[in-house]
Amino acid sequence: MDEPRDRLVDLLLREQLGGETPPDLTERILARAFPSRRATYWRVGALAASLLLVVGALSWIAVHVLSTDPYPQPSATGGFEVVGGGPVQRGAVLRTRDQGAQLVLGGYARIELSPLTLIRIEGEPHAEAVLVESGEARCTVERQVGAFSARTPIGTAAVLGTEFTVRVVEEKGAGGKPERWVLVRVAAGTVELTGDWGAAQLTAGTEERFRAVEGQAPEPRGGTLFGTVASKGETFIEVRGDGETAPRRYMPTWIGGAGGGFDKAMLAAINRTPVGSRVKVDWKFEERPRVLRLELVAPPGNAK
Amino acid sequence: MNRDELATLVRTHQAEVYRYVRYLGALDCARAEDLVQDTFLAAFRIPNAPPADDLRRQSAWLRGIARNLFLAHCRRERNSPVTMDSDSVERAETVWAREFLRDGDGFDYVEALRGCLATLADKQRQFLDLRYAQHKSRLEMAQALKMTQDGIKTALQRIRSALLECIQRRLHAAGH
Repeated sequence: MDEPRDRLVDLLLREQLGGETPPDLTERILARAFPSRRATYWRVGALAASLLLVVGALSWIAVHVLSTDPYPQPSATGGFEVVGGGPVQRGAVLRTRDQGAQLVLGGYARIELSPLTLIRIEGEPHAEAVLVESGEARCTVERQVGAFSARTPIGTAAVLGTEFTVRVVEEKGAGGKPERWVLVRVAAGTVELTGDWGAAQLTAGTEERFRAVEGQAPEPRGGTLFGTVASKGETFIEVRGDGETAPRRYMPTWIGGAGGGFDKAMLAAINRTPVGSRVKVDWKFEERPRVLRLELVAPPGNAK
Repeated sequence: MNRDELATLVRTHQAEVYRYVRYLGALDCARAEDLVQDTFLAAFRIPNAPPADDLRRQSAWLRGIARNLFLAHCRRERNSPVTMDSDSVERAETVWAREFLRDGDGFDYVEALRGCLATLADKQRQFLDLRYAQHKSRLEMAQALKMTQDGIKTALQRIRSALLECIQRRLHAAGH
């Protein structure tokens, strides 16, 4: 095959299998073709901001790259199990039964898990995070090292250095319907709480209970999960995430607007993935949960 | 050309121009974006643009600008791994216009490729997944598949060649 044809097929494979899509450069081009008067002032401001960024970046490199060891991986001790097996890593779900456990993230966030707690490791280096699905987690975060947030099905507690407890409680409410609420108790520092019910700031020595707004339990907007394929169809896959009680349906992203269709490469990936296999799913919420990347971790029968 | 006319021109053709400069050999996305931007800015400054209702002429005109900018870029970047002269760029244009677009927008070609991908053997599919879906380098693929890097290169070329033959068969069968 001669070179132009090979390059053409290569390009189309990058798009079809690799998800490479042309960017929208309209605003960028219009800004260059029709510069506004403000642009000059903006450029001066941008230059000043760039200088500040350079100074900031150099400081960050000095603090985080030159003067420190490699970034610590998540580690845990005590009586816990990783749901679905595998190492303690980002995306893993840890469950405690009759004993507690200790989880350390980034070397600066220490989380003590009470018995009967289910927690998922989320976040990223220097912005560690956990999702407390149920039970209780007492979090101690060293100041001025990195950000930390503890998400719950009802809201998020975010801090920059403090000690606090997050407890997810399920109990029967009026009419016998199960209700879920979260208790946050702050031992030191300040905690910012956010959820569909609003936002609040808690200081040391205070505690707050908050419930989900009825019918509006906030959904996470995306992330990575490990789980088992429960079922699938031509245009969807249902995966029960580790620690989750029910499978969730994920559809491919929609490409091309009104005349477009589902991401064909993802449809093919779903088609290749057997029910019962263990998978890793990268997803985001865009009208509905969309699967961005589907990775086979273990085939059926080896899914534990 | 006023602001609205330029915006319409960009929105209509930017995806194809981006694809085109990637196809010509703009190896990284940032370089391709710069070339697309320069193409439209050059088009904006040319007084006699093809009429807005003649999309095919507009498309060919923009590709011509993009080709010239790409050649100028290649001359400036002498250490670039992509070496293109005007003859090879013209050959690339012929393949693009006559085989990929074929008086359309290339949709039939892409659909044929999708159909061909579904017929690949598992081993071929594994090669493509590693390379294009998982973005593995030839070295990483060689380590994973216990092959040499040259072997990987040859295997990928053969798969692309087989796909090309399949595409041409499908297009021919569909009467194109």
